[in-house]
Amino acid sequence: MYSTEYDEVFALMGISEGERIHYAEFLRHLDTPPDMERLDAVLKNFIATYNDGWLEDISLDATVVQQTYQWFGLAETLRERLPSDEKFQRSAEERDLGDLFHGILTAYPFYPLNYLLNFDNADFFKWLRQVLFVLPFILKGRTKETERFKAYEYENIGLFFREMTISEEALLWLRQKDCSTCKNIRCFIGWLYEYRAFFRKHCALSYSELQTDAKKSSLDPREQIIARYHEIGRIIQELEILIGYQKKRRTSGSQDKRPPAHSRVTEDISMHGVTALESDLIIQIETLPDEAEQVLYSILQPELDDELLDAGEEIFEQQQDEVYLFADAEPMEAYIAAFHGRRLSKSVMRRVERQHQYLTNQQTLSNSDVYRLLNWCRQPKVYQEEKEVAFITSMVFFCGLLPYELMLTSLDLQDERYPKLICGEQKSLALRVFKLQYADNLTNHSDATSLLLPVPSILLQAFDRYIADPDYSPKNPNYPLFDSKFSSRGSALQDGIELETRLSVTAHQLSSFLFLRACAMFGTACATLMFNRPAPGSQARLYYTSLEAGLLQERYKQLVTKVLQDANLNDQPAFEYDVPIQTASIGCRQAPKLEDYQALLATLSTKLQELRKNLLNQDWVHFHNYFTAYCIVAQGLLTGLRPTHQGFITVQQILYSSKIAVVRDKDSADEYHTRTIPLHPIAIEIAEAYQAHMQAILGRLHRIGVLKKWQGIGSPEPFFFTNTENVDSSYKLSLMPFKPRLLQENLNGYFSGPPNGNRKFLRSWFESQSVPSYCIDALLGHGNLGETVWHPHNTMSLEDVRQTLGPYMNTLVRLLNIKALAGLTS
Amino acid sequence: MQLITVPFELLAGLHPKLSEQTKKTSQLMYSATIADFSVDSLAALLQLYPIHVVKQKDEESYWVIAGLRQFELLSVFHAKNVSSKAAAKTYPLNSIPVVVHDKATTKEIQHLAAIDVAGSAILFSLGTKVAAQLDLIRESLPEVVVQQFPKFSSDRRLSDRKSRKE
Repeated sequence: MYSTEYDEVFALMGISEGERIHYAEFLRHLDTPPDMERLDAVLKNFIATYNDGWLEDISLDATVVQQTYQWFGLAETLRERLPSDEKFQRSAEERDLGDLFHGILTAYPFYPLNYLLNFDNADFFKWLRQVLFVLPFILKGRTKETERFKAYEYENIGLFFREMTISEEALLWLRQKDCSTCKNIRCFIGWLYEYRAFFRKHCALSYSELQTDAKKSSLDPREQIIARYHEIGRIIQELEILIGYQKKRRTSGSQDKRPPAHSRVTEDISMHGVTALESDLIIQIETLPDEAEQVLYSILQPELDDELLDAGEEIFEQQQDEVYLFADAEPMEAYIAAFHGRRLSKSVMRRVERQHQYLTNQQTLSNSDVYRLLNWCRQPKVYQEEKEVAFITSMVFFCGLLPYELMLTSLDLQDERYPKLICGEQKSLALRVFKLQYADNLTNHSDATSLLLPVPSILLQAFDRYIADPDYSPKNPNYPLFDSKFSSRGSALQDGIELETRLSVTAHQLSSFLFLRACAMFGTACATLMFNRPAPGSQARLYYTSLEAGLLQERYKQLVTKVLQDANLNDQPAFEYDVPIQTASIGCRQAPKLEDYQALLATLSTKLQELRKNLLNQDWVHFHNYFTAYCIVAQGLLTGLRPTHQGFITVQQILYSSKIAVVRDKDSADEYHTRTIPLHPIAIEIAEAYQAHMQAILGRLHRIGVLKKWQGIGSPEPFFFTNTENVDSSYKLSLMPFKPRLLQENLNGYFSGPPNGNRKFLRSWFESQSVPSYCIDALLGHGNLGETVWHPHNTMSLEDVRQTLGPYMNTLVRLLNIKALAGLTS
Repeated sequence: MQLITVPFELLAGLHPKLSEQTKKTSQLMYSATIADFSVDSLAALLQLYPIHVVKQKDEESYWVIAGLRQFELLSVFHAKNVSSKAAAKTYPLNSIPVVVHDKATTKEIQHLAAIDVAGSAILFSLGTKVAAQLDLIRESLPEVVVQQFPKFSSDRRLSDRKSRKE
């Protein structure tokens, strides 16, 4: 026989023994004392609390949603069965919680909070009750001391919020604070931060006062105020345990958790990449192209909240609040120390900026220089050293590598070293594939390890002459340049070239020539993927581009042919041999392909068609979710909107006169993220179709009794239903505003890409169609300093962008079969 | 029964005993949404067909027991216009006429609501050739009246069904 502490009152209510366990579980959750005093008022509060919007911490979790609905039913029966004794009702005379619940405040600290009615700001306490309600669900299964509550912390919280209903400052704050909507616990904690700031300002607490130790029990009123200020901070810390922070606990014995000394940063970072130092610090190496030996290190403190992570956003696309630059590699400790002390100086920033903008001026060789140089390379020569210089020069020129990087040039396709010059049946030049470094260690990007380029005729001639020389006797026949003095660091090659051709050309100029031309012809992302060299400027371009190797091969041919033509070297074909076409993709990770989106949109429309036939049963709920997903995906493919915030452009955000949407899909204070997006007519039609659908769906929300919940979570448009697995005529559903994670869940099984796949796809697809980078930037909200649409000196109008993109967009609409489908009409 | 005018905020919602029934019929597809009515036309319809309510125990507010479709449109109207609170104050839909029933039993309430859903659906619905009939209404009634209903003012809305069938 199962007995509960509430049995005495249960017997009065006539609740059978079998049912008691469910009721008891519910009452314990409300922190009810065994005598159930004032329970009617508590239950009434409970019902009122869940009639309106829910915190997303509740809505997102199917088990909590189920449990809430179940308890909701129990609460109503309990209210009906509760004896009409006065002791169960709200007390008409006594308002003081301390007196009312005297004796149970320590053992049942949350019960008075569930009871109280506050007329100054009822909403605040409604959300508080939801936080307290969901608290046990969140803490369930947590074992570490730092992630759980201690018994006295429950009491602290109970006492603190009780005091808020009588404290003068708290009441002042509550009266002026609008708490009608609250997204989640994080948002609720945000209010407490606001309250703390208000408290400090109201009581005029100075910085030095806050440093002092103060006790609440002190007789000095000033000290009491200081103690109360600190108490707000403590409550915030305690509640932050719920959102995943750990609270520091005193432990016995001190543990030294510092990283081992002298772990040099350079060991952790591969060139041109990023690496996570500690969880929230990232070091990036930035190479300046004209002085490659001088490397700058910058230290970043990125902030990527959960929503952005879910959306698949990359760290480089995020705005960095703090950037610190260093000229040398230092031990880790130095960075940490400096990170706290030194701000990035303006002049360094300007230098980097200038570098990005005027990079090419001093680096470019003239066409006649190229002619003299390459013409000399292909001419027959007498001495072996001449042939060696000619070979290395053409390798540096055509591979875009510095001489010392050619030391391990291999002739064997199976070798692990790069570059490789293959001269058998299939002639090719193999370069190592560019690997993007990600802050986390997901490694499923570029599926090719090398990029096979066709060998330019001039390079082939120089190579043939070099190895055909009777004096050619390398120590290792697989690495012909291993012991060449010209392939070392220093100026040996520069001197060699000057001696032979009277041209003063540095190795950097030579190696950058094709690369910079590629940047100009095909954009920085394509050039980077072609030559395995990071281009200066916006990293975002790179992190969103994935190109087929075959396209890079084709473009390399175009590039070399054009350069040789310009240099008047077109008396012989630029290439004599073709390479086998590579089909693998090179570039960013998780970039969906055209076929992926074709399949996804087709599946979704079929699904919607099927569901449309069954709208006379509960399937309209699923119809809504699929329809919302379809609209978001289809419109996202035309707008490149980030799947954060609303994730969708609604009719209200469209400026019809200019067919432009003004939206915000990132949070930061500058104008970078207020996006002005030129809209395709179909994107507008989709927005209109969704609006009509929403008008119909709101009536249905009313009928199933959740219209107020929808308003309670801020009237989101678009929104999803959650907990839809076994929806029946009782509609135990929950509503959630758009979230990248929800979109992904709704596409589960039909699409494997990240929610922001649309941006990766659009960038890659436009790049492959040779659309100018600055137009793609304008659409996607990427930016290169000085080149952006919103820059004061920019002369490009959005209309230019629209007209450039227009034909490509139309092709895309045709290829993907994007349509504005109709949703529910009533 | 008594006809009085109350502010919208005092309508606390559907009577709790009706929630099950309205959920069961939630998938009904009426031919109009809130977008098909102007503010004035909805206000006029509420005068013609008032919402029926009962007073809540110990509270100032009311539970709605009949006139469910009118109440639905009214609630959606307010839900959509909640952001423009200041403007909403002047709307004719802020104070509305309601018929107050006194002391109705649960059974009576459920009966009344069921009659409402079942009866109104056949009382007002047009039979076949809906688009053509709406067209007829548009042509034969004074333009001032027809203009109050956006549904009549656009050909696309009238022929919604037709085009969808194709």
